[in-house]
Amino acid sequence: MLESMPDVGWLEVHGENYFCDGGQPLRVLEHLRCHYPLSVHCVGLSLGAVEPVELRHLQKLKSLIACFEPVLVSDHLSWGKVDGIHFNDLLPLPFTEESLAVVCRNVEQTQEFLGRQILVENVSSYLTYRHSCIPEWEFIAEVSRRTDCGILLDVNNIYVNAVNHGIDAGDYLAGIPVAAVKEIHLAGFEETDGCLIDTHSRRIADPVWQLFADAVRRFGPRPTLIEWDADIPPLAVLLEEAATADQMLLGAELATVAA
Amino acid sequence: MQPSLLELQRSFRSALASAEADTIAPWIVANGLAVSARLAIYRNNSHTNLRKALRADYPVVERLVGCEFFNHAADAYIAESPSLSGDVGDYGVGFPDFLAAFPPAASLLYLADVARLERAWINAFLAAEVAPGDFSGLATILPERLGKLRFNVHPAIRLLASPYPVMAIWSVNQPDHVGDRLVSLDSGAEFVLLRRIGTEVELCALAPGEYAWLEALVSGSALAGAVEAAFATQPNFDLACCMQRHVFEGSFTSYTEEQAHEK
Repeated sequence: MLESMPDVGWLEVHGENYFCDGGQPLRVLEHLRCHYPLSVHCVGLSLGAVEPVELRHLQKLKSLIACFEPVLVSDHLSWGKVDGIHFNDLLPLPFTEESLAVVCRNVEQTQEFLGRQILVENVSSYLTYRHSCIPEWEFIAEVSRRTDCGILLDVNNIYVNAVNHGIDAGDYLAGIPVAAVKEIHLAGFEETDGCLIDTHSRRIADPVWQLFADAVRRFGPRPTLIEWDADIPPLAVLLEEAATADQMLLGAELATVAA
Repeated sequence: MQPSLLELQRSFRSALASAEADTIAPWIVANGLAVSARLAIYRNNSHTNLRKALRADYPVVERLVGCEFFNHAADAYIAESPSLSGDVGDYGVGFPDFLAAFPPAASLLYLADVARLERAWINAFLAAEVAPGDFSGLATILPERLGKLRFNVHPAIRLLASPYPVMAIWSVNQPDHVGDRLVSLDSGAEFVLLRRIGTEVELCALAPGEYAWLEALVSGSALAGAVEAAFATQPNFDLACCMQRHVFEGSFTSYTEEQAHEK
């Protein structure tokens, strides 16, 4: 990256990877930040945990934001801790009124502390709960409506959940409020026992590209990121995927102008 | 009756810890794939994330014991040490102490200290950046007041003493090391200083007196106390030389002179 400074529109980093006081990671990020707009994507706020968001995590995130002034800041619609114990994973929530109240409280706490809007991302899941009574898309739309947070729409995660849980990806897209979507994620998955796992280790699958085309038609061109953080390929492969996404976004932009 | 979110999250925690714990099972939809298989995906993901974090922090330990033994040690650590942070980078902090008390590693006497060295390396690598201090005033301090000076040590400075040649072991197990990888365990104790030059961490072996002196300063001793500790360890300790070297090479960021209390 540092050598070639490729022609991409922006970069996204995991916030927690830069929760340090100094040294090379921050230097490299400073350098990249001079050339690209930045998005900070977190995995550790645990927005769906019954316990409130941890202050020390928020403080570190706030310093990072003050330093690098990212355009977008996001975390996931999931939980990852209980009774102070963390699982460092994105665990699925039951979609109930109680969960909705918990997530909204945590999102509000985060936005208030950071003094800015965050985006909340839909996650891939490998199980659902019997007592979930709200469709996932209605749940995330309602979080956005109540807290004024944005939505980071992960199109791969919609596809994965559609296959894993037999939901309709078209219904999902149709249920997401257009104005709330501020960013899109794309990624590759792997399959185990008929269950799709969001591994970020592959090229984007064809049906996910098709769903992305539908998403771009509905939501218009939105900043779109290719997530690939396991079995990382040569940079050229990643740039090819990004270029494919950019072409589709450009198509949508031209269509908007024409209309 | 449906579980509260707290009940559900606690049952999920138990299910992540053990495949036997299935109080959560009645609340999960099977739908084609068994509930146990669905939970196993999460158990595996969470476990893999923690193992990966340990592996990233302790590459030399892994090189020394091999992948299989490393996984075994990692699994035992994971079983007894829950993660306490949403930043998985914090997870491995307790691994060196764990290894020190891990019975299967008991014959590898040096292993825990190698792990401590790897942890110290990370701490030095990620420490805050502080501009070098101005020490021009040092020369004007009256000799009888020098002993009361205290030095603020640069945040990237780390010290590690071991009865084993840990720095040698660490060095021959770096990916870019060429040549012989044999280290004689009888080569004796090592007193290691880690510091950062630009963004690179540098390791150097110190004489015991210099180490004792620096360690006392790090822990907040005034210069007189630190010098005493140094001479107690090494009768031919050379204060002038050490002082000049560490001031010149940026080990200290500032110094404070103890003020006499006014009556």
